[in-house]
Amino acid sequence: MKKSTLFRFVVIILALSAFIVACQPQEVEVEVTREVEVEVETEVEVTREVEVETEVEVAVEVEVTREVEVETVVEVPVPVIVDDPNRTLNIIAVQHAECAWDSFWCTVQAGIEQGALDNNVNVTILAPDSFDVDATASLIEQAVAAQPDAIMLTVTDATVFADPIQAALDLGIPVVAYNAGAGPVEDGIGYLTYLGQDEYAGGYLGGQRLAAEGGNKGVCVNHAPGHTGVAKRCAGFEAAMTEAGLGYEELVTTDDPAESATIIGDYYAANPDADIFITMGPNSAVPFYAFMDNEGLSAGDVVHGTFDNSPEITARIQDGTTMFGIDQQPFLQGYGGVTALSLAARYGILPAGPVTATGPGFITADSLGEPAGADAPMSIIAVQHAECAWDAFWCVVQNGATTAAEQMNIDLQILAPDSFDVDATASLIEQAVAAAPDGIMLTVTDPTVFAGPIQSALDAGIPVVAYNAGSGPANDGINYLTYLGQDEYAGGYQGGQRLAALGGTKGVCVNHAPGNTNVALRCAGFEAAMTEAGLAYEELVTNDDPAESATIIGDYYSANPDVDIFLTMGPNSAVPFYAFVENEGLTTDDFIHGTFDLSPEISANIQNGTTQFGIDQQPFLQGYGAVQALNLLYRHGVVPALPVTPTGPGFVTVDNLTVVQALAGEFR
Amino acid sequence: MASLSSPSNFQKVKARLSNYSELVVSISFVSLFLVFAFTADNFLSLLSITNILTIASIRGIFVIGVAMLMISGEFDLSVGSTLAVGAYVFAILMEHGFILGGNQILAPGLGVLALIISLIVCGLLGLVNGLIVVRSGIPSFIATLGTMLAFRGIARAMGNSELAKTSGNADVVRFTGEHPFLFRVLNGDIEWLNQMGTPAGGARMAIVWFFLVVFAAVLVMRYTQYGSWVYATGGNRLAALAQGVRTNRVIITNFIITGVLAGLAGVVQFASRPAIDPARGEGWELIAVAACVIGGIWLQGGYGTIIGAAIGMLLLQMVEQGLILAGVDIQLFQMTIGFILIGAVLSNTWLSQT
Repeated sequence: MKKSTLFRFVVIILALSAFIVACQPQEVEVEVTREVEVEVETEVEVTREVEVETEVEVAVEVEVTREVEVETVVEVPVPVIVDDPNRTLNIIAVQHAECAWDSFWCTVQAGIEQGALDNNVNVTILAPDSFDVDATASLIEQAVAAQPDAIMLTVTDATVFADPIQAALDLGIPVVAYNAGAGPVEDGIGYLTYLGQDEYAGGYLGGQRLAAEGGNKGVCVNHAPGHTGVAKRCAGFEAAMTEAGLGYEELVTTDDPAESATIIGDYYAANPDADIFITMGPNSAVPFYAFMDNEGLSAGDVVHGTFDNSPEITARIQDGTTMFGIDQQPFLQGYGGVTALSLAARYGILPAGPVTATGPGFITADSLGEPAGADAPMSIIAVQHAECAWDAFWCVVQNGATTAAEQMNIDLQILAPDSFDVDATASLIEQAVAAAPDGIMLTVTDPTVFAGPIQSALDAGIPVVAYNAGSGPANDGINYLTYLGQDEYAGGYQGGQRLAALGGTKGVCVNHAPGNTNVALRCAGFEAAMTEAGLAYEELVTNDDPAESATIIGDYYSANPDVDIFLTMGPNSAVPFYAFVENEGLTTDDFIHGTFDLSPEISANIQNGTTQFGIDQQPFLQGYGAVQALNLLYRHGVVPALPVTPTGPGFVTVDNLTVVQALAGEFR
Repeated sequence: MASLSSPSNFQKVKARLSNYSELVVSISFVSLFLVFAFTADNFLSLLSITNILTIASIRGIFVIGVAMLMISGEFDLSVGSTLAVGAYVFAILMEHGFILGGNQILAPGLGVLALIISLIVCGLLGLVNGLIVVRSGIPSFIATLGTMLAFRGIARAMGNSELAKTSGNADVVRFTGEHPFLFRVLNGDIEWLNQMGTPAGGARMAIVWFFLVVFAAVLVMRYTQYGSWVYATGGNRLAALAQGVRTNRVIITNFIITGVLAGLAGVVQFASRPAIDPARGEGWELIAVAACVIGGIWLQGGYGTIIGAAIGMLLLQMVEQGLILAGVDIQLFQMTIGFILIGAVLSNTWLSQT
């Protein structure tokens, strides 16, 4: 009897498992599409190599490339906006390590806690009790079950975390990555952005600083060959050297300090003209110091900068041997993660790029001092060339600035002339300097006129950031910290990627403002995306007359009927484009269209499917971000990572149009 | 006398309760379930419940092996390391096949064969554990502490070898190809169940495997002669020997079962998260012991049930998910588990003093 019972159980079990396995077919298709993406990525590599070799094969492979782009563009779902932006948000942070057992994370968590305080957010931090990728993935799954307003996490292993993160995205929960990750595109997971160091920019900006000291030849001392992040650092450094007309070489060392010091010494004996050195962290900086001591070299003989920081590096920065240590600013990774999620969940304001740089933060002899601290009282003066009272656009910018000031308990004063007046604005800057605030934020409408007043602020030791108008410290020729505005090239590039993903053969950049540098950057980015997708590209110049521009587009279209992707530069080229579409009687099957900026016409066409997206520069973020950057610098010693801090492109599509329209005038 | 009859009734109840070793864990499970149901938002959602089941199931698979071993009076601290070895063998065979001296002996993507080879390897590791314990007489706690380190070393070496085609510190093996049907059988999403709620559930096939393993183990322990041998071996080894039970063979067999189940857990896990790193499974051996002890299995063996251990594992995972949903800091998870563990041991000890 027992045996027969046993037999019956076994039969039931087998039947049950067969049933469950049989119930899988829907899932089969899902898996298959996912795998296509993986294959595709490998083919990209192939194509690139082939293109170099023969032309004949290129034609064949181009077909493949186009499909490739279609599949590799990661779809970043538009997150759900919370019902009441004023309520306390619940955010869960899942990280692969924590302060309790890895002191690096104490700084990250301090950033998270300060960010939570400033943004009226409740953050719960989850981490395994030792490094455990699988346990971390399970924590993400469990965090999703809590259905928080947003999730921030470290993407330690994109393969293992892909499904758990996707589960959050499917629920419309906004997700950002911090500290570990490579951005949504490289990780192949549609989260909003990755907050971490821009390694290439670190090498590039570091190289520029070192080259400015003079020299013949730059050497990238690399103790970790094969590491992709480190390779990007060397590539950025090389670009800076080449730009400065200097020689460049990469020197591979090891993790053995004594051996590495010998390698550097031998290299120096063979190449005595090498006089600029950048090291990749303590593991190459410490051998470098040993080499300098061995050779009896002093600060004047070679110029040195390094990534990362350590007690040895700090000592050498203080004695002048080392110009700077490049910090990834872990505080900003935590703080910025909370802020980005708060803005996304409350106002639908999305991060501008797949990677939000928290570093390079340059630690120099000047910046080694202590910041004022979280509770220090702080005052900021904002000087702008227009204001809410007479230009509605500025209401949104000012709302961003005042929201940030309120959250961070900052005394903010906004100054603007009563009509557009460059000279009056310059005088306002001078008067602001006289008030000796803890920070000044301003619009660089005219770098020539503003150079003097801004310099007087910098001379007075007042940190300055630019927002909305400007083109970055390098292009403006004024040494302020950073410019917060749209990254025009990225706008064209990301827009081009989105359009190419929908298919097509040839892209046209409809430019109604030839000669405008910002618009030229948009077209350049668009061209790069077309070329990458293996599509043809052309620029079409129109003008500010709508009727004439519609005719120009029409004539061009009859001469080039293969054109099917259009990117317009704003309402002044989008409106003529809509007229052209109507004249020719085209339908949405005939073309793919995207545009910069928003207007009532553009919104209507996004709504009816004619236009895929409008690219928003997110003015709220310009005001908010400028206050936040000054606050982080003054109170927490965190410096802006890049000369341009992008606030856009923010893509407005049919998915988030209603949200944007609902918040228009206040937050958008 | 009346005054004596009431304690004797009490003793009777106590004696009867001690026949149900799952009692304490079941009461704890139900009461904690109710606490979370009332205090933690979303606890009763499909996603939360399926999360608990799925995540508990992977560890639950090898907890059952550890439970059988503990009932026979032995420990296995090497399960976490065995799991890593099993997952590495499976991952390498699926991704690269078998390469020896530069020759491709087996092609990649072996499917079921890779699964079988991986389970055999883990079974052999279990055999090694068993032979060391039985032949040398070293207490299994110490013997498997040694093999825990040794097997971990094997996993690390495999990850950083010609077999895995990795070098430097990048010893993570990933499966990059199209996921074969085997992966869906091992740990695919159970779509029909997941689609029954909003948000969609997180149920995976690991639940089915866990259920099957529990079922098979319950049948063996309750209805077969081998099951009574296991209890006898753990209860009173000398008496068992006198009764003709070949206790050494029982212990070795249990070690092999534990090894195979650890390997199965590693393979099932790899099937849904196809990347394996050398630290995988570190510390999980103690979670397994905790689940068994909470489930009512005595540390000295001879007493306890498979069902108890399974509920113990589910309870551990339920507490983690529940505390996360309640917005409690994760650090309190360990504290809670610690108190539950001590409470379980105290109550089991009390019940055993008949």
